[in-house]
Amino acid sequence: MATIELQGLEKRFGEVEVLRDVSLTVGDGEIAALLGPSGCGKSTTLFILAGLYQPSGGKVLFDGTSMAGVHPKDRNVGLVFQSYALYPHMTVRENIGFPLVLQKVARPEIARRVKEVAELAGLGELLDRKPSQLSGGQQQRVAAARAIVKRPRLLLMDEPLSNLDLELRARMRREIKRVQRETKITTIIVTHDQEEAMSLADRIYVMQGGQIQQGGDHRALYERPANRFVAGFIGMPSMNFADDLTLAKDGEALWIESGGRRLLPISAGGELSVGDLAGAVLGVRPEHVAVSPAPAAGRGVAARVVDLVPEGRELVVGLELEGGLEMRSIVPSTLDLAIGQVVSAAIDEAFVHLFDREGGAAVHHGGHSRAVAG
Amino acid sequence: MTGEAMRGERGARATIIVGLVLLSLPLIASYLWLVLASFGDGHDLTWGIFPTDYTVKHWRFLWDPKGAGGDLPSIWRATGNTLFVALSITLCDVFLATNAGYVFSRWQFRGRGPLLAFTMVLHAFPSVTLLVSLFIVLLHMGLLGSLWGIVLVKVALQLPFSIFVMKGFFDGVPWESEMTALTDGCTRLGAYRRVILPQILPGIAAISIFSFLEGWKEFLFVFAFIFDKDSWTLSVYLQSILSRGSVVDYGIMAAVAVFYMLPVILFFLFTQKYLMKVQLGGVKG
Repeated sequence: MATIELQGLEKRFGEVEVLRDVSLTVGDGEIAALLGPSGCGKSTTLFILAGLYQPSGGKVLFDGTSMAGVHPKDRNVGLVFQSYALYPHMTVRENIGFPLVLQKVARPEIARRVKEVAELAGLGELLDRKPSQLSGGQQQRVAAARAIVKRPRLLLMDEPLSNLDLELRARMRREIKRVQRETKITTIIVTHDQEEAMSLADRIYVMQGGQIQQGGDHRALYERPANRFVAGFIGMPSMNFADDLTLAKDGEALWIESGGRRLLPISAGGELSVGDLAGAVLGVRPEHVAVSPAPAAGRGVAARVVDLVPEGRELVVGLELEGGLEMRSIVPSTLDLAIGQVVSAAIDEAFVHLFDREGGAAVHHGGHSRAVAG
Repeated sequence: MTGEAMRGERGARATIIVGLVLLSLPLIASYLWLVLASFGDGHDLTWGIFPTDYTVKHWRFLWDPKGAGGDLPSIWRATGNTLFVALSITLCDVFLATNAGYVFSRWQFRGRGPLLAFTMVLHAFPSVTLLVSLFIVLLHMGLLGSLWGIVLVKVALQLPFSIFVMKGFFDGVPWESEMTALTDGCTRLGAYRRVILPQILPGIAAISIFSFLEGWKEFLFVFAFIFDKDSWTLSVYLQSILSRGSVVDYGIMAAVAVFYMLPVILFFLFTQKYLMKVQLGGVKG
């Protein structure tokens, strides 16, 4: 159990820069997730924490102590790979006990602790099997049990659930959370699955291009994305973006237009009416694009239904606004829609985000976001 | 399954077995002849293969140093030499091939691909073509006439194949396995010994068997590079029985041949399950 800190971590493989100025803090007993698409550097960060890779620059601190030059075996870190990496020539009992054997723990003590951890992981009857005789979920448990048996200061998991089917994944997620609550081991999970990150972690670090884009809890990431990448990456289906923005006046009403076509009405004197729209990209989440079957009227704009994806409770609607702008919306599946139908799509300015067109940094979050996360 | 279907299946099986037995009959017959001839006394035979009288006099060489003829050294001496050659080749080959295989499998270094391909090319040379040049090399190294010279040459020729096999086995051990071992508390060497080595044991067993057999059966180099009878191995010993004088004593020849074969057959019986595991893993990366 420890507080983990990365300060300005850099990693280069030859000419290739894999990590750039990665800094983060994980509190004692917390679960953090490194979330990002493949190749973003999240696994590299994990392996540096484990000591398997040497950083090219920056610091790794465990409880304030630098880990530079400390061999993996001396870091007291538990590591779980996506492939589990169980030792095929050992039984489950030997696999789990291996770290203790290396620590030269006395035999009866090993037996006791293996039994204890095996029970915690629900592996009671499987101790004498070989890894090849186990299912994927069971192998996952063995890998986790082996990683925590020595009571590590830090537990690292690299895509721990990616090889499991959906139902099992949900169950294992709950179990990881339960075991972590019971053991209070500081844990860092690497994943590309935002659902996994959100359901497991107290704090999520979104990574892209070898850099941390944003760190925060799931609501902060969702409601107040720091930049366009995070906004697009977090949330399924992803955020809608509109480009080429201008401000238009129609009598008393103010409209934001995209490509010369009306997108949404805004109130006069608000932030949006004075901001620099030309240098911005507008983002709005699908659930904040309200669809009503009646044709465009009042605050809505006309849109044609081009795609319908039923997802049980909800329906993901693909819309084509006048002028060709495509958007997605989520509506209750009770709403009766047909492809080709012309509907009204309404966006409320309270739910709108603006991002800098060049750098992608967020320049404005709607009033709703600020109310939630402020 | 109905009785009829069962009978049908049995019939098919019986046909296959009979066919296979017939096919292997010439082979079985020649080995049978060899064993029988080593115990036969005189030239009288029943059915052209079974001797009428039996004796152990051809096997005299086992207890009588001059048993195979006064001009030959003791068979035990030759057996010792053969064992020395076979075991030395095996030890050197396993040691070098596991280390090289690990490096080829795990390390990305400049020229790795060409080097790997080149080792295979080396293996493609028929040893006869190298005979003269090897003679000169051994001469200058002062190893001509020494069994160490034979070991050196055989290991060199055997290594490419063994390295290739071992690389395949190392490729089969995931990187994660090694890395987990490190975080579990192993040193690099400890991870190799406790985690990797147990997983490549079938590979080591396989190349051991191959190298041992290569050494055990080696004839050409011993024939060409060894001049002292005291350094003969069994293959040259056997050949000398066949080639001396004008009359070949088939009784002694057969007895020596059976004696030469026996360890290999026993060895093979106990290790064939490892041989079955050999896979020539493709070149990755």
